[in-house]
Amino acid sequence: MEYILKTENLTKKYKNFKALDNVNLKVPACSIYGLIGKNGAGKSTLIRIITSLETPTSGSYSLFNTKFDSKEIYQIRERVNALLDKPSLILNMTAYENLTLEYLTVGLPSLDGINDLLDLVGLSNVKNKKVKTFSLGMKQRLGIALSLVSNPDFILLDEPINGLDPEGIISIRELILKLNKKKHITILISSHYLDELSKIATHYGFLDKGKLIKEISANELNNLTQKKTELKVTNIKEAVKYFEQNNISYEVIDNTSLVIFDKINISEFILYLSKHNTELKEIKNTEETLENYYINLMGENND
Amino acid sequence: MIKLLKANFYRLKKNKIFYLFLLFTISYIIFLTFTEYRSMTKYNNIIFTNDLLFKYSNFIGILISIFTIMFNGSEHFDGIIKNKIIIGHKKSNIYLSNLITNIHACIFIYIIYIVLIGIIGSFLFNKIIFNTELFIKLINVFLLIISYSSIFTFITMNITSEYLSSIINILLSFIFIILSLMYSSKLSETKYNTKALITDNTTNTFTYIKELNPSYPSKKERKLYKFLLNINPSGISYQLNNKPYTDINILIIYSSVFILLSNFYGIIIFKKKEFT
Repeated sequence: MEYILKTENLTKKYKNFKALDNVNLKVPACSIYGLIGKNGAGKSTLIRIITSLETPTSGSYSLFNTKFDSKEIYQIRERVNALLDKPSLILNMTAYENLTLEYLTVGLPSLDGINDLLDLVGLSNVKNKKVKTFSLGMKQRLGIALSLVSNPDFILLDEPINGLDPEGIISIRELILKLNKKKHITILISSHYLDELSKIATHYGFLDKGKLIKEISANELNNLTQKKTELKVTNIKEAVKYFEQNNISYEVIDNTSLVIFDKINISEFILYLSKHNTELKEIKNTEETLENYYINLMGENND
Repeated sequence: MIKLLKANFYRLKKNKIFYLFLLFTISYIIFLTFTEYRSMTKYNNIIFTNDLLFKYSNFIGILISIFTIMFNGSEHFDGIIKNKIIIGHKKSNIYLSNLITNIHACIFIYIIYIVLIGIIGSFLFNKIIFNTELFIKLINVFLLIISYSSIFTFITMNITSEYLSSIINILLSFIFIILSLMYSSKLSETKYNTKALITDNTTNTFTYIKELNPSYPSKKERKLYKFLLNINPSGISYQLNNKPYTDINILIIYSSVFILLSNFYGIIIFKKKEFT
């Protein structure tokens, strides 16, 4: 697998506080990597280091297989962009002027693509309005448009939906998906909104107290967090026999309870059990979400 | 670097403070020519246009400090500097491009002042006398602008808080003026004070006595005050507008060293700066 970003024992210390502690993280190409962790877990510090706003105390990282301290990194950085906690916008300028400024800063030969970018983020109808009149969601979308000017292959988004209303959240989510699917941009996104992340992320990294405690793909996570049904029966052998006959995946928990991961015809199952002198004592559907997974993971890490 | 300069000049074109600076300069030209013309017609004073060319340098430091706060300080506040770093511009290039933009804006404004005051002055007062002294003084005044831009760029680029850098910049511009007035007043002390004593009350006869001035600085002190006056941009502008205490050719060296040192350390600190 090709990785856009790889960190090796990345550590950042501020006096007596370790913001990042030997982080080894890998962001696959064309993925949407959700960086999850509570406040102070080190998410923003990691993003600031990757974007060279801060330097690591020890360890290293590479972007597109280029080490952060090599001479070539300045060229590589032209393929990377970021939207930090606050988009870098000049409020007294219009959306169009802000994009023009970004075009000049990046050094593009013509301003032709500005209207397309404004279309992409849905701001073409307000392009000549001063940014100070924009809502937070519009500013975030313009911030994303600015980060797209350099035509990056990798974008880092630090809490892009913080403070947005539901409509704003949906539009940012759709925009992120569009960028990833249509433009094949790899996106690293840090957020507190686990539910939102679960809708878009293809990979996850869980940070706690500066340590990367788990890295997992969305597929692996789905397997772990899929819908399941917990059953309690008087004779577990009969229940197992039924599941095996009907190709239903199951997991025995103890002498009386088991978990199944597939749908079953419940009346047929009860009938089968009663024929074999077995009683169904309890049935419970459970769905483990990303949120539950995160809480369990943090609990395990703190124990 | 060229990309950064192009972007900076675009921002400068859209910057209201730059136009306010220009408006203030034009207002000052009107005010200065009016008051000088009045003093010429009312008190028969002879006004030399050459002298007027440097009057603006007396307080240009305050204006440059405000301009750099608004131009560089807002770059921190708006996240423009962070953005430039993220997309791969070298920190030294970011620093230098901002410095060049500030210098360019301030020198442009001073050139407008010189041209307008030169034209108006030549009509109302005396024509400009083009000589070596004028040439050297002009070099000094441009270096003075670069010195001010350098020190204020140093502060605004290295202090992320716009409020803190505003306070430091404005305070520093006044401190420069106060110190230059302090040292120049020390240096203008005469060696002797002359006292008049009435020797005969009936005829009102006076005897004049020369007394050593206790405030007159010693040789060592004079050297120190001259040095402190020369390394202070406001001290240089004081000397350009009044009697210089040091050869004006030498002042060029002082300004150049000031510019080199402030930018050398400014870039070193900025390169090490972390943006948390």
